Amino acid sequence: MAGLIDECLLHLSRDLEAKTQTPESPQYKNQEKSARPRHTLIFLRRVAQTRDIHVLLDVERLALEHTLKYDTNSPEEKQSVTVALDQLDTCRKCFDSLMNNPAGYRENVDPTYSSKAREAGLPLDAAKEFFKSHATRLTNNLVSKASHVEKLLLRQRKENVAVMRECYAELQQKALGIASPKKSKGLSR
Amino acid sequence: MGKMPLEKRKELLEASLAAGESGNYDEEVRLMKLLPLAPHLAMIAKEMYGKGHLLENGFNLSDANEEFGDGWLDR
Repeated sequence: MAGLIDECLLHLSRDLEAKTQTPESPQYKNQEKSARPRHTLIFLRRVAQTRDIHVLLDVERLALEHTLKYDTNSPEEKQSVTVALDQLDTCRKCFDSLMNNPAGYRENVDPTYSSKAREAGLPLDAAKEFFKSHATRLTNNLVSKASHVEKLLLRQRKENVAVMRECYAELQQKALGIASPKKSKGLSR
Repeated sequence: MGKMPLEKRKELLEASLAAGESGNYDEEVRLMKLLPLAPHLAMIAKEMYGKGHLLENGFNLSDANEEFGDGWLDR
């Protein structure tokens, strides 16, 4: 796990290095179009393939912290990232609780959700809310960020959120003894 | 230790990209670790995983040391 988190730090740092070294040169523009996104995309895809929610959450947290400290252009954007980080922390708590105490989830959490607050029979809890609102947040960023590189990376981050959502739903199904529905294309191992 | 010269940084950047290009991820990571870690990322890593994690995993903290001053890891 630490290996992939370290790699995430290194990728974010190298992307900045490439940008700050030669931002106007043809060499950098070439990296914008090819090498840089390819390398970081491959890394983010490897993270998705782990299907390990802790790793996926940590990598997303690093990306958000990096945005907060380095790449926010307005107070509104800063606020949006801060909210995302709060939601991510709550999501992690939900996940840990579901993972460590599935019986507690079944007995104490599940009954508190009405049929309207469910998706495929599973509670739309704080973790699910994070997956949903964060996917929307990333989609909104896709519209506002102009760079080709940023769009590619944001799309992959969205894919990774989808993987988290699927893994989390599998854990919910297991805890609640619900048979898993047919898996969506492209997300199975 | 001062800032790494630009030529050296370029060399490491290109070499790490080339290693990743050929699918040699271990070498890519080794070379990326030789590049100075961006100060704000070093600070994030310290806050998330602690000083020990940064020191034990061989990150180049020269830019962070320059930016935050001596003893920043202990503050």
